[in-house]
Amino acid sequence: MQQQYHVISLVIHTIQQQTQHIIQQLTQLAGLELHSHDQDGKLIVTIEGEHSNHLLDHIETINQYQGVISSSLIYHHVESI
Amino acid sequence: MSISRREFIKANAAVAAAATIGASLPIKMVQAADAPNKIVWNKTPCRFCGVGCSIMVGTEDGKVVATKGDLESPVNRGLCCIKGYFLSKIMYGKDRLETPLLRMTNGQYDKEGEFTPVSWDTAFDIMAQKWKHALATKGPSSVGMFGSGQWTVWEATQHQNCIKPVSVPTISTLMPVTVWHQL
Repeated sequence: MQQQYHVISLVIHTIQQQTQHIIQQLTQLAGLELHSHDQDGKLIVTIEGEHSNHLLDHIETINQYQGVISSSLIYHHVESI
Repeated sequence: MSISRREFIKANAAVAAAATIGASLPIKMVQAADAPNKIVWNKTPCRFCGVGCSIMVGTEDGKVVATKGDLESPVNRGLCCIKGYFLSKIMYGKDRLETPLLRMTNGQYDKEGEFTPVSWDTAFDIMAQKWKHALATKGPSSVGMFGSGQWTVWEATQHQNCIKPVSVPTISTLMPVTVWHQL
C-alpha cells in the first residue's frame, strides 16, 4: 500500500493543576508537537504519523491521562507520499 | 515530502485548532499556514449522523486531503467528532461499494452464492419484486425502511406517503449521541 502521511491537530482541555504534568507526558509521544497552552488549561497539539491507527492510539492514550478533561480532534490531513 | 510542505500542513492544523478556542500562535506558524498552496476548501455536511455538522473539506488535484470543522457553523463551531473525519477516507477505501451486488451462482440469484455486480435496473426490479412478495405473503410487518436525520422535507414526505400506508410504525434504533465538551 502506498505510504501515507497524516497530521491531526487536537485541542486538549486539562485541569489546571495537572497541566504541566500532562505536558511532560505529551512530549514523550512520538510525532507530537505542542504549539500553545493557556491559563485555562487548554493545549493545542499536532500529531504526525504514517497511519491513522498510530494517531488514534495517541488520542486514546491522551484521553487516559489523569487531568485530561477532553480532547477534540479539529483538523486531519492525509496524503500519499 | 519536503520539510516546508510538512511545516505548512502542521501549521494549518495548528491554526485551525487555535481558531476554535481563540488561542494565539507564534507568528511564524501563522505565516507558514498562509503559504501559497493548491488546496481548495469547500463546505459540506458530514453524513455520518442526523446532526449534519458543517465540515470544511480541502481538495488538491481533485482529491480530498484535509478536513476540519467549519468555524462559522452555529451547530459545531469548528469542532467535529471522530466519525466525521473518516468519511473522506471511506470514499477512497479499496472495498468501497460502487455498484449494486447480488448473491449469485452461474448468473442466477442464489442465497448461498457470491456477491456479484448487477446493474441498477436489475437491482431495483428485484427489490420491487421481493418487496411486493413479502407484503403479499407476510403482511406489513415484514417490510421496513431505513431513514435518516438528514432527510430533506421531500424525502421524509415521500416516506410518509409510500411506506406508512403499507407498513407498521417503525422502531428506531438508539444511537450513541455525539457529544463534544464546551471549549
